[in-house]
Amino acid sequence: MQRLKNLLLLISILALIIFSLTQFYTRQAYQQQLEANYQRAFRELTVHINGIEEELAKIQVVNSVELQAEIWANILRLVYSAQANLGQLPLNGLNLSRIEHLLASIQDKTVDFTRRNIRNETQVEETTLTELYLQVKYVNSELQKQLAEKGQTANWVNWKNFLQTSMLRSSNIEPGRRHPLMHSLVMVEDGMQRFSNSDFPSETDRLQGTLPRGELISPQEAVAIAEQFLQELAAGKKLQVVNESAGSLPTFTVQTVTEKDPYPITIEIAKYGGHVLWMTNGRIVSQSELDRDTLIGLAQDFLARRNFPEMRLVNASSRLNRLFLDFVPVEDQVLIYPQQLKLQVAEDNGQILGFQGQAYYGLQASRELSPQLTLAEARAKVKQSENIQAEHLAVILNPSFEEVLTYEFRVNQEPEEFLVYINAKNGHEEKVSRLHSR
Amino acid sequence: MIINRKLMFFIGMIIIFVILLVSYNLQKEKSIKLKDDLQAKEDQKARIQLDDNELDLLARAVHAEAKGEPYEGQVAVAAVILNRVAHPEFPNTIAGVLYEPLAFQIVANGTINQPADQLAIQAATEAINGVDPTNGALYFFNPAKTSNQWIRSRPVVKTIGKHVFAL
Repeated sequence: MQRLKNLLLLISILALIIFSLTQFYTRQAYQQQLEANYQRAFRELTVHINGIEEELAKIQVVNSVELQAEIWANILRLVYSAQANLGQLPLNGLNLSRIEHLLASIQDKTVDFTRRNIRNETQVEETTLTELYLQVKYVNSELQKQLAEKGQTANWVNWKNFLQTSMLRSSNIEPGRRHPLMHSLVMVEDGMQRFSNSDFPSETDRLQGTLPRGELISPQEAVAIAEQFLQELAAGKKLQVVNESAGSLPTFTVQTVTEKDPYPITIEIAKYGGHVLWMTNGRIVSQSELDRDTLIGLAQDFLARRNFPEMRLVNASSRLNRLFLDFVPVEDQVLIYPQQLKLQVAEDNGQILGFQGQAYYGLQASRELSPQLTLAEARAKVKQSENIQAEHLAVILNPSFEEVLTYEFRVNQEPEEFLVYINAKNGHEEKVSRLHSR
Repeated sequence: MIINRKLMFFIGMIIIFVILLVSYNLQKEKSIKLKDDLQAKEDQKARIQLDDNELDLLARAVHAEAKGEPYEGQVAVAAVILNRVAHPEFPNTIAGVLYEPLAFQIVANGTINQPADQLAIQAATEAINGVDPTNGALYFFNPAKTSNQWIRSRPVVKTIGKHVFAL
């Protein structure tokens, strides 16, 4: 009996040892793999930044438009890769906004320069280019130096980090346990303070300028505005302000108060100006029963009863038994795309479930809407002009977020359809978009 | 002879132990998978119309992060992820943002792999359509669950359900 007990004990111990060893080696294998991933991301980052520096240096000497275009394309590729590499590094909690903004502004400028270069519009602003080049040069030389010094240290991952991130539900690694190369990134980031002129406006900054503005309203006024907007949707329901938000566009959140309904109507009102920014209703729509034309009619009715001006339906798609409709205002026969407004209609009973009007209110402006090119002249600029199905004047946003007056041509290229936009002033092809049919 | 028999017994026991261990693990995986299948069937109707893989990923993130939260809170989670995609300081794709190392707990613990329910898909679609209840927030956290001091120091925009949304 005693022998059997001893034997069992021995077996258990052995089994435990085997089990622990497998666990240990598996963990080590995973750790190595993760280590290799981080190592690769960092090394690729330095290679790509080095490439950007080299290309930016060259472009200052290159004279021909062809070669410049080639180099810009290469820079764009390198920037995108560098951004991807940054996204693969465990940066959580590290502030690298200057480096990231630098990459983003190179990307922005590249698109901008390429467009203008090809059109021979204006010469590239040498000062911006030099400024960007100097910053990249600094980042590059620092990273190369740091990599040479600390590149061989292999402790991107250690078990304490593993424990911290996966078990303790906290994702901040203590600075002391970070890889030395992560410290170098922080040092480079700090070093970039010396460049005074490092604030190039980004996409988000530019959109900030388009927020609706106006007089400050009270919560009671917000409820009144919501009531007026919802009309029959909130019939017999009590509305109240349930939340408010700070930030660049302060708002009141108004909700229908219902005890039984798990899906209240939520409507967001701008504190300044009292515009209805959006409305949602999470109700699950079970079945589609009404046909599309009826639903579109109901949506148009909804807009008309709220005194919206003439609106043109430009896109309709269905998902989860909800019909998503995009409308744009029509001004003197011109479609104003930047002021697009979105509606969602329930396909079972035609109830309006969603509204999104931030751009509609934010981008209200008086516009110059007379074209300089004739329709025939613009038509001649379209590649497949024999396949043009429809045409229209339209204001769109170009990639630099500027409004341009264009001729919109609907081109049919079996089996797909495209919208081609020709600048109504200078005949440039501003944009091509593919229509998705669903 | 007796030693040999002992040894055989020994080895036999170890083999049994290992088999038990392996089968236990397999069983565990299988039961998880079975549960997923059931849930997938439930959501099939919603998923059939989904041909957009990115929307699906976004919806799964919403489902994992904000299941049981009010609808507006689910839309808000999706909106934060989309705000990050648009922001120069974050990766440029939904996958890039979600799988950024150490960024999301739901990626670390694998809950992002569970299929999304209809409400989450709806919320994701809503956010793609431009509804942003968070007013441009880039971070969100559950104050009851995070010990991260850095994220707590961000300027708060709004609180929806259990989540605090911050810039």
